[in-house]
Amino acid sequence: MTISHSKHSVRHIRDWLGAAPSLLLFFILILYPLLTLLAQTVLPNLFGVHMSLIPSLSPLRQVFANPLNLEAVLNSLVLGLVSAIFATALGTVCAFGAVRAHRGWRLTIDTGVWIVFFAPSYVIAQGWVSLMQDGGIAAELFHLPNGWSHWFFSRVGLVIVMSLRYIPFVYFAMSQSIRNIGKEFEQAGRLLGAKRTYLFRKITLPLMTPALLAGASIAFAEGFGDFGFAAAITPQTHIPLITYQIYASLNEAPVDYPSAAGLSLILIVVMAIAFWLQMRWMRGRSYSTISTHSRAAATHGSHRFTSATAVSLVILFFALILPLGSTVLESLLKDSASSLAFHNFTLHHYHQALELSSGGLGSLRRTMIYAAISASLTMVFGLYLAFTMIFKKTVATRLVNNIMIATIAVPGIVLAAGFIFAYNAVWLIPLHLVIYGTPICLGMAYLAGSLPYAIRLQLGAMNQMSPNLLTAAASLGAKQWTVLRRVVLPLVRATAVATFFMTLTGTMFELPASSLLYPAGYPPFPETIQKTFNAFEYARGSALTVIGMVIVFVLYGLGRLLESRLVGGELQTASRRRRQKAPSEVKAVTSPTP
Amino acid sequence: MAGSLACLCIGAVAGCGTGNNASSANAAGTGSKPASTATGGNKGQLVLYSAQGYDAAVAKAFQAATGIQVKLVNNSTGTIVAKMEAEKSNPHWDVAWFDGASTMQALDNQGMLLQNWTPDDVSNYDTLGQSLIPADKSYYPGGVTAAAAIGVNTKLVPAADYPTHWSDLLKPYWKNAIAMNDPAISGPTFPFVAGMMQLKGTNGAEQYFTNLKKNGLHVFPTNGVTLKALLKGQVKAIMIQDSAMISAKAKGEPIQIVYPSGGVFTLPDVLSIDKNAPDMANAKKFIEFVLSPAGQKVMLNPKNGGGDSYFNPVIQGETPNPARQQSGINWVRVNDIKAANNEASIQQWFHDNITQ
Repeated sequence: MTISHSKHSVRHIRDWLGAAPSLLLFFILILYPLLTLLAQTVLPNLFGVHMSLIPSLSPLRQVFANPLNLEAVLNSLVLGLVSAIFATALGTVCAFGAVRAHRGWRLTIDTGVWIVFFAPSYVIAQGWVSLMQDGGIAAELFHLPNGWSHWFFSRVGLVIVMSLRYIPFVYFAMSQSIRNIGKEFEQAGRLLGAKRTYLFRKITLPLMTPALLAGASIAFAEGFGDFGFAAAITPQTHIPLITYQIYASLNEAPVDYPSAAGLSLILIVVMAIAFWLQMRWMRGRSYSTISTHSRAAATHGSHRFTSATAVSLVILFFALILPLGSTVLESLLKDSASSLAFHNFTLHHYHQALELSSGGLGSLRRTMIYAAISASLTMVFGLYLAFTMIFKKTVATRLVNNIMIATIAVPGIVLAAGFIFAYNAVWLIPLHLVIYGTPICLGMAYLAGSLPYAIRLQLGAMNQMSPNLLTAAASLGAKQWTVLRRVVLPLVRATAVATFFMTLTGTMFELPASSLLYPAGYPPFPETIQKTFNAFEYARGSALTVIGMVIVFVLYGLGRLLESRLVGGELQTASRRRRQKAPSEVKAVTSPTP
Repeated sequence: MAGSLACLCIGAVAGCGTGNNASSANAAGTGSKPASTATGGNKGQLVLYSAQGYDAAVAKAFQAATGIQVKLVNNSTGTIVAKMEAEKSNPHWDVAWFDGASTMQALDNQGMLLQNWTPDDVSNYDTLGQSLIPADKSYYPGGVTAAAAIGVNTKLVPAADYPTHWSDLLKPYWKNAIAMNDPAISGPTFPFVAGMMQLKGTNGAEQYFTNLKKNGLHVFPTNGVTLKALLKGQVKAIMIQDSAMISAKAKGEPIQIVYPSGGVFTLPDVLSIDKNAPDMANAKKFIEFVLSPAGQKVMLNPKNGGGDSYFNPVIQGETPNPARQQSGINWVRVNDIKAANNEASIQQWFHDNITQ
């Protein structure tokens, strides 16, 4: 009895030790900053001019007493849910449209979705506003009267633009999943005489559930927790949203951190419940589509232009061409009040933007460095953390997983504010650990912002891997590192690349952390863009943004090229090796060589 | 793998700690200047938090004149204030500079600002400037704009129909054709609303804004959007910060600016010093520089400050940009202490009754 008990506790300790790196990472990047902020809901003077530990419930009481807050939470819930459902449907169509289409079409759709993804929220939102407002681009093109777009600046309009905006999250999760599913399940079903729609409903769709839910939950989290996007339209519609309430409590005098913390707490609780429901739904079901069985390489590329492909292109027209086209038009106009006449077009703003003072170029260079570092670290940490969560299920990793994912909902501005409190705290002074105001602090905030997304996407991909694969590798003597590198990594490579570019582009245009945490005198690029917008120079701001997007796009293209080269090269060497060497040597691949 | 990860993290944190002795030492709030000596420059440094368009140019000129290195954090006023509030137990800034005396007053109410210090060149102020200095001398105006004036689209409105009083906008002529900003979002708009409450009394001002709403008032988020609505002909008249309209007029836009005879409300850009400024001496020098002709010259050049350069100087002998009307403006000084104290309730009322 005692022996088994102590054995149990030894294993328990080992579990926690094994989870230590994840826990530490999680604590430094997310838990500690969030706690310092949330603590203020009960200790409102923790970070006062004079620190006081006298507890008070008045901030929470205030939050719940304001009827506007309740209305805002409900609005956000409904808008988040509805737009997540639409985004899931649209994103799934795009994923099918791309994966099962001819290479050219696939590339078009893929690239389109990527641009939707890395276009900064405020640019897409601003694009919609320019297009739809009275006297806007659409009104001018089609001679529409004032008030024609009244319906758009309402909940309906918000749902439309939000769903279009969140397509990429679903698309990324789904396209990997569709590729992994292969066709054998469908073929089996077809052999048994099932119809295509029946197959889709009963086989394909259920198998994609983890990816579908992963994508949908991120879309919901985005809709529920994203300030940036709603911001451009909310002020025009006057619909209260919870993120807007948080933003307002931080950005309107008097600044009220305790109340922002209380609202954030609500946000986190709602997200935690949503993810808990999702986990409950997934428990006890298996979604493994990647197993140890060998099979013919998937042949999705039926080189067909399906109806899904056609619909995808239409969707992308609305999600991408309309808003971005408006932004580009805006950046080419002499000024914001000019009409769309030919003589009003000019490249002046690009000229000006390219003639950036050394400061502007410096900010671009700084951001490229921040972006490269945080993207690499996000990719590595995301892979590692998702791997430990899936394949080393302990209480500790589950805990980290749940909280980490709930923090997706925490708006960037809240997390960034948390970083100020956490890393400028008076108790760090004697330890010389006040890192607020240094590039490291900003870099950590970027990482904290992107890591939960990376883990979420990786979990979706890894959930489809059969545990047998890893057991097999492990029983052949492979160590954890080898399993991760040789078995897991190749199977989730696309997702890893996705998380890299997601972070790269996210950092390029990330605003809340950039503006709250940048080291004095060394502004990053998003801050330079924002400064231009703040000065109401929309055309120049749009020009700067377009330049930033072109850079990201070129980087993305290079990355894709590199990836395809690498994959192509790997396959070729592998097959060459297989031909040249005796079969007995091939199994060396699974042996634990470094 | 696990070990290397942990190493990386700890290394990162420890690394920054050692690299930042200076700022953690500042943070103790002793008022000494370890940061200045740590940077190696013999004149030291100055950390400036600012929302002004011309701040970078002024910082550069100050640096050239004094050899003091200026580290600038430029943001919108909202972000600057959010940052200052979050740092208040361990502040990193020396000088803060933004539009809106009532917002600065709210920071002063919390004891964050240096009080009772007088710049050497305080006598440079003209009468209007002197009147804008608070009793506890916790901040100083760099210039002043009107929180709101009336802008009319000259292509849509004949000169005979230009309004001359705020109440003219209640006439049926302006039905559905007027706009202003949301005070919850636009910084300059709160002093306008608070000023109206001061001028007409709370009930009178609430009645005025309610009647404007009945006459089809549009409420847009910020200066830029409202200005665009005017120039695109969506509305015929707007009530926004005058410098934004002068800037548009200077670019050749069809806009006429009217200063209603009842009075317009002062919206100064204000400078304050952190009570425990790590670089106290340099902070004081900076404010004195802003009040000097050399500093004003930089600020008044639209090439440096864009729209922010079209302010009304409050320093003797300085003339504003020629695009700006110089006489016949009836300035009403907003009581900032009162405005700061009533901000929450005024904002709430405006949101519930006008914006929604």
